Amino acid sequence: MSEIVLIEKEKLIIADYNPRIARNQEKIRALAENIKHAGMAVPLVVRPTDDGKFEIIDGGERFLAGQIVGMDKYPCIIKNIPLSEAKKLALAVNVEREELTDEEIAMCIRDLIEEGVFKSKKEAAIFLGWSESYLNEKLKELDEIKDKTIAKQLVTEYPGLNIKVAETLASLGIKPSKEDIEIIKMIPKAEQKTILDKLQETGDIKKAIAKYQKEREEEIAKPVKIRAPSGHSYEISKSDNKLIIFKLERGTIIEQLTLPLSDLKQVIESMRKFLDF
Amino acid sequence: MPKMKDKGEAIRQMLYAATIIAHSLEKKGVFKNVDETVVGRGELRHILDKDRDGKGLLSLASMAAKRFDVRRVKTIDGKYLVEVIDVDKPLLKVRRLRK
Repeated sequence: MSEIVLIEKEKLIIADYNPRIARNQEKIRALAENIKHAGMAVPLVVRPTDDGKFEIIDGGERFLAGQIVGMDKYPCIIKNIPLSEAKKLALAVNVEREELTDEEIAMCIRDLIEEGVFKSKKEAAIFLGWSESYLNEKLKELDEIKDKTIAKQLVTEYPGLNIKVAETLASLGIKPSKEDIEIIKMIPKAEQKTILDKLQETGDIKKAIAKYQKEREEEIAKPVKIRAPSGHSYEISKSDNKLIIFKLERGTIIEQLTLPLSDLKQVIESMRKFLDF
Repeated sequence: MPKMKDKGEAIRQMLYAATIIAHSLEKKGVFKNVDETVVGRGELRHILDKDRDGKGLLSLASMAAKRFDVRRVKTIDGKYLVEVIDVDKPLLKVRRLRK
């Protein structure tokens, strides 16, 4: 049985590696009430640091609750264990309580794997009593959060960029250049979504933009048919910077007008004369 | 007013905000000579209020800090630690953990 010692509050710090990110203030207040009436029944678990302080491995919320009621000294169990063991212990005690969110667990495990505390995902899964596939699922959720973060970074950096486009770019791992973004931003925000399919198809931002622009040009080049009250119909199309207008009567071309698009004023004037409405 | 359903959502919003803030400061060259900096309301607004999505993010991050007490979060790449020093002002401390 480990010995319980009293340590001054100034010497205690909540460990950086504590997996808990969000704390429940109501719970801490309730805990404070409890400590006020019954005292701190469960000691904190601490580890000595190089600068003469003690980092709290287990009992961060009890420590915060104690501060509310003005505790000067805290009952502690000192664990002389290496940092890697302390990190594992902090994760284990918090996971056991089932109060951590998936995000907190996933981030903590990712850090411990990256820092080499766990040599592999398998080792982490065994330590937590999870299956490897369950652990992968949690880490995958973190990847999704990562994609969303990158997307939000993009829309913050480039106002006017559609969030869905940014999310697709992030999920495909595409890092667009400033020029690419400027081209996408020239497309109306609502219409930017049409680029998404092309992005999924090609997986390349430049190809997706080129495909979108080609389709738009083809769409613009499609002839437009209009009917005049006189009974004539007109077919207007654009080709090689020229506007071609056919005048039709019962489906047969009876007249044609070709206008160069260089002088828009001239185009409007000629069209006014040619169209009989 | 944006809504925040649970603790997980609060952590996600804080993660988004923290990552955007830290990386924006990095791009500006803030961490060239120092490993730690404090960011105030003006800078936060400048970074996060450029777009509708960013604007919502600032109030969501404030809500995460106030309602769920999310006061300390590592950026999504684990490169920076962002701590809320004062939730009302708001005031954040951004610390580089690794280069």
